[in-house]
Amino acid sequence: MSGLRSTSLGTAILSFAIVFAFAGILFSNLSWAVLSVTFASAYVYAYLRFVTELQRTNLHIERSALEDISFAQEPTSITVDILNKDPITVRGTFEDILPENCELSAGMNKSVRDLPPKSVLKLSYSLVPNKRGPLVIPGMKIARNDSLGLFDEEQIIEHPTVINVHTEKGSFDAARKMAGKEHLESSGMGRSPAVVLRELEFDGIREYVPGDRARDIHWKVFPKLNKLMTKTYRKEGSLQTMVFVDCSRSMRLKRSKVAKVDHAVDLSMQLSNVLISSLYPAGVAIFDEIKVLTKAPPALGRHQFEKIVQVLREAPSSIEESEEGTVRTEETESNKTMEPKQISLKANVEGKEFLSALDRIATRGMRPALGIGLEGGIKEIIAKNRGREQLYVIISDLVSSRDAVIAGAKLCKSTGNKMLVIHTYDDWYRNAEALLDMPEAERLYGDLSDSLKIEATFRGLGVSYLRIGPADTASRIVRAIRRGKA
Amino acid sequence: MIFFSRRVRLLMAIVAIVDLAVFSQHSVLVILAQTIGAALILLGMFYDYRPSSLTGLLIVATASAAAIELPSLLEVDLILTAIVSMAIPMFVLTWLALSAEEGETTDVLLLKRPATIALVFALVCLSSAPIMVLVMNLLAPTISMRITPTTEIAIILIATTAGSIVLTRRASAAARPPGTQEGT
Repeated sequence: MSGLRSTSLGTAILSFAIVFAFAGILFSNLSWAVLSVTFASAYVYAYLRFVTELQRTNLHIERSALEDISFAQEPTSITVDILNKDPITVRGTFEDILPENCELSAGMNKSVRDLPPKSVLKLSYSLVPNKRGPLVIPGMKIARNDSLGLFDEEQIIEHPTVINVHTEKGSFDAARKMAGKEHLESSGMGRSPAVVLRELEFDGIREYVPGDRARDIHWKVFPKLNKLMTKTYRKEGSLQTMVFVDCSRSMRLKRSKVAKVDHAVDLSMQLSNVLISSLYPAGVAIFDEIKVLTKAPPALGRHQFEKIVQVLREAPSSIEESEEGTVRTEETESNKTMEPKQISLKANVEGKEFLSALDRIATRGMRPALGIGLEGGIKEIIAKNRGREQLYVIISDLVSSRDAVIAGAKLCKSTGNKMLVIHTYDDWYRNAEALLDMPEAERLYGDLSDSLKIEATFRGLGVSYLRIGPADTASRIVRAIRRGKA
Repeated sequence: MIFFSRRVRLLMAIVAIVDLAVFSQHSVLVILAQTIGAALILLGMFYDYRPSSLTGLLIVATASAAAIELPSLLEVDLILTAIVSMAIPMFVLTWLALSAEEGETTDVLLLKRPATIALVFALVCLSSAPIMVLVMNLLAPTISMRITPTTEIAIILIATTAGSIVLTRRASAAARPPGTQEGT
C-alpha cells in the first residue's frame, strides 16, 4: 500500500483547513488556526483509522463451482461466501476477480454494500470460459471506503480457486454419438485385421455336433456337402489400448482457431469412448517433454470413461501466439485495473520459458534430447503387463517429442506391441489465410519432406501412421484406421 | 475501540455545541449561525445524512472562530481556552459530522489508538508556538524577539503540515498486506 487515495470530501476537509489557516493570518486571530489544526487532526485520525481497518481485515472467503465438470463455452456457476470475522464493518465494493479468457454470463460478480461484523455476503454468478484448461480465479478485489468518507483504497485479497475447464460440450456429445456407431475393428473374412484385433478370429469348419449354436452353422456349404458344418473360432485376447496425448509446448501453441493440444484432447476422448463401447480396455495418458503428467491405465467398466475425462481435464491449456510470433497472454478489462503482481504472472513465465525453448531449437538446429516422458510411460506399461500385447496410440505433432515417439516405436517393435501415431501436422494448424511467399512455400515444402521421412521411419518400424489436421474429426480418423489407411 | 450509540452521539454533539456557545461572544448573528449549524448537524446525525452534518459543521466552525477571540497562544490560560473552547468541541463535532452515515448500520466506532494519536497531534500543534519560543530563548537568550500572531500561526501551520506528513507516511509504511483465511 503506497498511500491511501483521498476522496473529494477528504480534499475538501484539507482545503478548509488551509482556508481557515489563511483566515487566521488575515484576521490575526488564532481561533482560525485552532480550527485549522482541528480539521487536520480529524484528517489524520481518519487516515490512521482506515490504515488500522485495512490491516485488521479478516475475511473468510469460500468459493465453489456448482458444476462437477466445467466445459469451455458453457456457463459455470460460481458462488462466493464472504464472512467478516473482524469486529469492524468492511465498507466498499466487493468484486470477485474474473480470470482471463472468460466472460461473465449471468449474475453479478460484484456487490456494493457494508459487511457488518460476523455477517456473510453471498455472490452468485456464472462465467463462460473461452478455452479449455485450468481457470484460476485469483481472488477478491474490494474497493474499500473509509467510514468517515475521506479515503478509499483498492484492496486485493488473494484466494485463488482453480477450476479445470474441459473441452467443449459438443466434443462430449460427439464421443457419445460415436460410441454406439463407430468401431475400430474390421469385419468379414479375408480382410487384413485393422489396428484393433477382433476378439474372435475365424479358425476353420468342422462337422456339426449337437449343442453347437445355430448362428455358428455354415449354411452356405450345406447344399454342397449335404450335412451341417459348424464354423469354429479361435479366441484372441482383446488388445489393451493406451492413448498418449502429447502436451508439450509445441502442441500447446495456438496459431489459428484450433490448438493442437485441444484437438488431441478431443480426439483421445472420442477414440477412448469408441474403444470402451466396443469392449476394448482403453486408457489415456498425457505427457510432456519431461514426464508422463497423469494417466488412467487401460480398463473396462462403467467409470473408465469418467476416469479418462478426469485425466484429460489435467491437460495444460493452449498458449496464444500473435502474428509477430510472440506468445500473447490475454488481458481482460478487469485485469487491467489489477495490481501489477496480480497480472497473469504465471502465464508470462510460461510464455518466456516456451519462447526460450523454441529459440534453443531454432538456433541449435537440432531437436531436444530423447524425451523420457513417453518412453518411460511405455516401458512402465510393458513391464506391468508382462508380455500381453498392447496398442499404443500416440497423438503428437512430433516437434518436441519426435525422438521420444521414435524411441517408443522401436521399443514397441522389439517387444511385439503395436503403435499408431496420429500426427497433428503443424503446418495445417497454422493460419491458412497467411500470405504465401517464396520463403514460406520453401518452409512448407521442407516440413512436408521431413514429415514424409518421419512417416517412412515409422512404417519401417511397423508403426501405423496417420497425418491429420484441424478438420479431421474422430469419425474420419476411425474410418481411416478401419479401412487400413493408417 | 469504543462504540457510541446514536443517543450518546446526540448528547455529545449537544454538549460540544453548548461548549462552543458558552465561550463565544453572544451576538445575535453568532447565536443564529450556531443554532442553524447545530440544527443541521443534529438533523444529519438523526437521518444518517453526511452532507447536512458537514454543512452545519462549517457554519458552526466559521461562526465560533469568528466569535472566539484568541490573540495569542503563548500563555497557558489562552492555550487552555483554545483547547477547551475550540479544539475539543470542534474535533468532536467534526468526528460526529463525518461519521453521520457510519451509524446507519452499526454503532459508531472510535478506535482508541488513532484517536489518541490525533488528539496528541492536535495538542502538540497548538503548543508548537510556545515550545518554539522556549527553544529559541534557551538557545539564544540574548536575542529579543517580537512574536506576532502571524508568526504564531506560521509556526502552528508548519508543525501541523510536518506532523501530518510524518504520521501519514509512518502509517503507510507500517501497513502490511491484509490477512486472509483460506476457505475450502
